[in-house]
Amino acid sequence: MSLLVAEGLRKRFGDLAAVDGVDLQVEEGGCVALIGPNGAGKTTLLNLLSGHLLPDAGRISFRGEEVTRLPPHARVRRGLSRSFQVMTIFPQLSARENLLVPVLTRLRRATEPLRPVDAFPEAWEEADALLRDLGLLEAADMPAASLPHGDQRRLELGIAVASRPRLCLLDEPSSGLNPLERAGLLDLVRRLGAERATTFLVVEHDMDVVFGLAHRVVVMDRGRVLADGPPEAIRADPRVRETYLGEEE
Amino acid sequence: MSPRARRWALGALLVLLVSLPVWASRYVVYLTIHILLLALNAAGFNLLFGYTGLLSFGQAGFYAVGAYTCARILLAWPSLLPGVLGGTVAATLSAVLLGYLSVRHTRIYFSMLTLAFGMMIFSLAWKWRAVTGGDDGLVGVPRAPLELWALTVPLPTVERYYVVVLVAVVAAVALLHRLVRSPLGLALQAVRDSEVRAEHVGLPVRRLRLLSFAVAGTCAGLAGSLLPALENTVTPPIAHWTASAEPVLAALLGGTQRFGGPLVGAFLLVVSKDVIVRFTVHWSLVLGAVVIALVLGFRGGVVSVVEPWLARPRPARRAVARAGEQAP
Amino acid sequence: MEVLAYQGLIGLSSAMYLWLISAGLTIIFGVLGVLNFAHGSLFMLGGYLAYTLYGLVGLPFSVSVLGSMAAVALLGAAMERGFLRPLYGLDPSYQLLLTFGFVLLLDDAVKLVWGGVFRIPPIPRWLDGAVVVFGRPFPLYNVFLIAVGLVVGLGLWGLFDRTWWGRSVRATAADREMAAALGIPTPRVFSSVFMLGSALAALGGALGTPVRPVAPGIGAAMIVQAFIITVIGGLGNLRGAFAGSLLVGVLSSYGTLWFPEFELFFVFAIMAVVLLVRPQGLFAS
Repeated sequence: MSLLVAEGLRKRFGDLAAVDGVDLQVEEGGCVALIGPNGAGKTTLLNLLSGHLLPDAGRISFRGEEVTRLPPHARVRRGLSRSFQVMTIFPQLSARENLLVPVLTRLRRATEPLRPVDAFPEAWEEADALLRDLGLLEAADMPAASLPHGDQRRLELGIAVASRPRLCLLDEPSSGLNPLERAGLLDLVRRLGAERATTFLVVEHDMDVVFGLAHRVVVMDRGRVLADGPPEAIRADPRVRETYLGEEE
Repeated sequence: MSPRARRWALGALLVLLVSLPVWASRYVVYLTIHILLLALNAAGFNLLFGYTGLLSFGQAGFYAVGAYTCARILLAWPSLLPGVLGGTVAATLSAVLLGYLSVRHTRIYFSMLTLAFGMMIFSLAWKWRAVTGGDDGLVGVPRAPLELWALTVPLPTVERYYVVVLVAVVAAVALLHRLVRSPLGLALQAVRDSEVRAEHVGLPVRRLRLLSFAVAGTCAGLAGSLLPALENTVTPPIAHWTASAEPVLAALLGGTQRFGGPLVGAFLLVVSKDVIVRFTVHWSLVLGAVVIALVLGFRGGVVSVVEPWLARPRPARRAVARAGEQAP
Repeated sequence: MEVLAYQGLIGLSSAMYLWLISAGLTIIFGVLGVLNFAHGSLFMLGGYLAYTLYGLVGLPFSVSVLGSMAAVALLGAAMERGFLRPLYGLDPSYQLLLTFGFVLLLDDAVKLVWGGVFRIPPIPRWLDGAVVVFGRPFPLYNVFLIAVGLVVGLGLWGLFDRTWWGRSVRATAADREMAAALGIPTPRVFSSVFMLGSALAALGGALGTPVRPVAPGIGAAMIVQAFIITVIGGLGNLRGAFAGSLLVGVLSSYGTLWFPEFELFFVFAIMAVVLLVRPQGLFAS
């Protein structure tokens, strides 16, 4: 059974067909990169998959279950999470609290009204362990908004994986990072994927990230899937070179 | 302030409050009852505003539902507990109903919806003579005795009634405090910080907002239902949107970023109104100026000004300390 | 039948007060994104100032009205520049709270300066009298009100559609940063818009002077109705505000005929229903 199956997805905004008949299948394991020029519909596709937007047409099933019209929080409960291109963390909460929220939610403890948060050591330890992996343990008590940009990006990634998703959608996770930070993030994604058995679907513009991380590349252009295959095949594909890679550098 | 110091301070405050009828004048006791009622109302409001990020101008509506329901119960069945419970439950139900309609929207639309609903309750209170007594209100509400199983405690004096109010408010505020320190409290803050993020970590945002709204309405309703037995009357102005401003101002004055802020603010608001009124009838003008000053200068309220000297420890430090004890 | 039509006309004339205050409120919201709670207080101040100039000092009616508009416009400019400007970009709740503080301040300040309730000064002679409509005498003053409302409506349309200022305002409302980048003096646009909105509110209050007594509670009563109208019409939508004012004015007028008890309730219920079903307003594009 495939992890994710999307069939015939369409989404229009007025006259613009942002997603124009996309079929996509993602199997468990590894990392799938989603690339394409600006305006290709990558973020819209991610929005449809995560439930942030509802499609005009098409179906999405996740782990065999139809999720097309489920709200985002229901999809997260089923193991599908995401990060955002525009930084979306909890600014006033501490770094640790940013991770405690998804962890407690996963443990079905998020709506406990009477016991204090620090009475859940299992959640605390898990959040701290993740903070350590992210290299943010020292900043655990600091409000997330006060962290430097690179740390916030790592925190954003952490929030997405804290729900222990089977499939994690990352929308340009390395945007705004310098090359050193980018390499670090790459490493992190690789490690987290291996440790937590999480499959990643990553939207990226940086080709080093794409070819260093992904075992499969999906190319989108003008709302449609243009090419789909292993990185070397994509690199060699003339259509891809023309519409996308040709524009780079 | 270290945890021990805080516990001592809290204990001292409780001793002060419990012993009040012994050493304070009747007027001070009466005033303190109003402080307690406003503190509860404001704490409930701040759960919605400071912790969940929703500005409601409709708390007075639920306060009034609590007050009027309790008054009608007491007029028919002079027993305090059913009155207070009935008033509170009525307020909770109204809050759930109106909240369900309101929380689909946010920001300005939400605030205006709460204003509209609050004023609808006001116009019902004002015009529905048969039920609410119209602009005359309900009069002759008895200071009904507290009946618990076989025990009947009459409450002829303000001092005795004060004890009932103190117990009710302290219990409610203590529960509210547990709530904000709990995972649910954290979830509400997450919803406030980023609705989108909260949705995408698996939190049912709308349901959480409704829950917060219902709790806030319940707090207002409980405070309202403690009013009729004290004043023996209930009149429509308690439902007007200008009355909704009281918990808002109290929370703003004391500070919306800390749990204790609205409580401090309630104290400040009632006391300063009482003091200002002795010098000038224009306390509203002074209050307005204070609000303006606060919004421009001290957005964290009084508590934020005083806080650096109190250096509140965060829960994390306790956990780290605990871990430190275990490590070799 | 004639009763209905006549009552409708009464409603129409009273709708003009609502139109003037709602126009100001919705323009300010549309351009600055500020929902000014104190707008009703500006309406009330317009009434007090006009009353003072016309009823107490004895200046001609038109001078008094224009004078009060100018004074309130200046107050509005001071409010915007000194108090609201620091809050742009922050959570809109702070703006609501600040303007609420102004409501408390202004509503009490008028009590301090002017005291309690006042007599109604006589209608100026050139506006006194009645025309016969549907077999009944219809006050000339009401015709005047309707005329003023229509003139203001046309004037605003012309202002925003035809003048350079109007275009700058629309640009700023659409995209603040872009407008600034194009060289439009956005701070001055904000101030002038706030002044215009305040002046309109003051006009509404001032026009009420010969027919209703000025009193401290008027501001609070009007602002809630103005909120309702701007919501019904769509926040920031001038045409919607006009239509909403007519709707609320005429419906309230019929309401006093048929449901005197629950008129207030229904007006709020309309607002609630619109907010629930179509929060962008009945007339939004």
